[in-house]
Amino acid sequence: MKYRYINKYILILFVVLIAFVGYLQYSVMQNTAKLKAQEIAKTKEYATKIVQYIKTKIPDNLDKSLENTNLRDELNIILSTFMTEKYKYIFLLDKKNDKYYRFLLDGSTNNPEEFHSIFLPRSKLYDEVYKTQKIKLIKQKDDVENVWLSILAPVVYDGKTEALLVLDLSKKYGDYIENFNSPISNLVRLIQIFLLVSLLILSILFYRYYKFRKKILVDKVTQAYTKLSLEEFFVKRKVQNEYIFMIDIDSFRVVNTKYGYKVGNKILKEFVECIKNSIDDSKKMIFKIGGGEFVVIVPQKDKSLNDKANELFNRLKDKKYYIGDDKISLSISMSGMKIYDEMSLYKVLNILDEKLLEVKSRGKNSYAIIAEKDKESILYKDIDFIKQHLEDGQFTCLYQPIYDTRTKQIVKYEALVRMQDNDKCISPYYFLDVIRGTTQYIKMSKLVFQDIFATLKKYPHIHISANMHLDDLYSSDMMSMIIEQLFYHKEYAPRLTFEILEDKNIFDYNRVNEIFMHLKAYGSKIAIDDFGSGYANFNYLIKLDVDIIKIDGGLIKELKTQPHKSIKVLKSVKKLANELGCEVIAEFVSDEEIYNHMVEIGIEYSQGFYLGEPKFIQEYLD
Amino acid sequence: MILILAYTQMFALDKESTLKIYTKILSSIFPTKKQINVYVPNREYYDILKSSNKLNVVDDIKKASIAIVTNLKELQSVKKLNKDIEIFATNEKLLFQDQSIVGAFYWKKGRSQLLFIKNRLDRYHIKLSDEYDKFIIEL
Repeated sequence: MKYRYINKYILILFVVLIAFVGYLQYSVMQNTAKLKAQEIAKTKEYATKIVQYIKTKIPDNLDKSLENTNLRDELNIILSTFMTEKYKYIFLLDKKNDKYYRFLLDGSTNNPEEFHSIFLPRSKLYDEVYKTQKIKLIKQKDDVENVWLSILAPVVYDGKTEALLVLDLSKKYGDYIENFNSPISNLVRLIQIFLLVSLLILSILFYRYYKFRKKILVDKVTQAYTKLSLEEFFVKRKVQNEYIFMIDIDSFRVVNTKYGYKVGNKILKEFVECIKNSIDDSKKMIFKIGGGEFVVIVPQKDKSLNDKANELFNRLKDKKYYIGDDKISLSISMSGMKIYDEMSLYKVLNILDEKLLEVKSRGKNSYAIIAEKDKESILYKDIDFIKQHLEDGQFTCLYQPIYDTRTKQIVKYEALVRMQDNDKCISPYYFLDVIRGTTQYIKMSKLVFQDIFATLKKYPHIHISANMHLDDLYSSDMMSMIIEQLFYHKEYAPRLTFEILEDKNIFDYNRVNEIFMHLKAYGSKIAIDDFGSGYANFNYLIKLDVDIIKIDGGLIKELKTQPHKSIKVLKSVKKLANELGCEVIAEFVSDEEIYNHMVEIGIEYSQGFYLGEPKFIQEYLD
Repeated sequence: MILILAYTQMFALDKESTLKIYTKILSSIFPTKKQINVYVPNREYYDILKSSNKLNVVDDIKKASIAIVTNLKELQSVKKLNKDIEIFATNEKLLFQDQSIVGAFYWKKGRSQLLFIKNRLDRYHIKLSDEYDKFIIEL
């Protein structure tokens, strides 16, 4: 169950419960009404039977016949036998004149009414029954004691009403019927109270939650939404195809340090106001995701992403802030893109952040947008996309040949990893940094080594170079995997060279040498990649036991611009390497001119597009 | 003119209702009187009716315009003290037993019954309002 649906489920549950309780109450009421109706019907039937009995006993001349005391007594006794617990009174009346009724019979054993004693009914129904000759029901009120309802049944002889039989159902019985379903009614009432209390508690909780939410979703200082709100916005987002901008106030910390946090907060507030005023769209959303970092989401309308970015950036850049007598403007860096369908917040922020770093590395106070055509590259940086491809084994190696410079014969291939997306081979530029340091990276490396060893197995005369990052050497998981691969394929290991890439200084040379020894123990060789660039320096040659030096492509490229100096440097590297017993490879040999230089300098091996591009191994060997 | 009110089934009403009913009945018998002097030999009813503003329960029958009795003994006692006093009975038996009782209020089969005898009302020149017509019978 997704968390975001819980509120809906609770609401549905409550509605169902309320509906259920409503149904229960309705059912109980219906049931009670049905019981009453049944009881009334029974009583009417009962009254009709008593009337029929009287008529059987007295076929005609009712009034006259009842003057016979014996007959009257007999019928009174019979009437009393009709009186069960349900009935309070059963009596027979006749109408003396238009004014009043008289008792003819009385089934009560306790203080029975005397024959012909007067009875003045309050209800007009007595007269109506007398007239219409239809059985009627009177629901008694409080003015009639101990009687729930009365049935008035006419006693008709030859089409003429001679008397009225009154059958009173006792109040006690009425209460019994009324309370027949009281256990269920009480239960329903209890549930209603429970629901009411729950609703009350829920309302209070909701109110508190609403207050709390407001507190955590809106930044107190700027009134912009918080990062949490941004996450929620992405989860619940209904509007599609918005533009999103990441704006960072460059070195905002300096403002805080120089002018204090109070002024810093004031500037941030004004900054947010400026964003608001810059975008004429009520649906814009401004989120504060860091100290001086904001995300702005704007619905796409008539303006292009670039126009919108340009307008927003210029407004923010030109905005002046007054601090006492000082007037300052802020340097801002901004990145922007269109939000594509099904893009997660994590993905979007990653892309924007990367672009923002790019802007900052170019010198800040600028903006850059991620264009539509970059959509694919965005996709290739998506961790989920990479994960899925790793799970599907959609990774392969291309092989770039390394030539013997003198003979121009292939002596080795460098394995280069690629992610396969349909027919495309995606460069590691997109995905490597995304997965580095994760289990996905090890998974990918395993696939690479499996590919390399399969190739070595298939082509027994070739050598292959595999790239390894310096960090890989420090990763026990990674090294376990590599050693395991070497162990299982030890017969191929001597034809494998590990090219070590790194982007930072080695502090523990002993540890690195120890690892190299492990690799070399299987007969593999060690090459230092990018020699001559930032970190790959002469120290390596002194402290590390390497077999091959791969000269940095940057140095090779310099042959085009400063050939004399470059040749001298390359010659000295070559000489030094040879004296240390290392072979030298030159990469980025991109044309004949560079190749000829390599021949001239005497670099043993050359690699580059001039000699051969990275391809599937079959294209070189089959 | 003396009217005797008789009753037997006090259980049927609570004190407040009884007071209300009797105040209304007696007020209809004496529509012009602001205060009606009543003689009530029964202790229970005495206590109830004395709390009325309209009715003035008196101990001296000679000062009374009406007397309320609940049984034959009370009826005889009232008649002995003042044979001309207006008599009204709530007990049905008393109503038909004694010609000087003009009306009664009583309970029958759980239903309240108010009954006036026409010729007795006439005898005492009592003119009830139209709403009481249905309670007046001729014997």
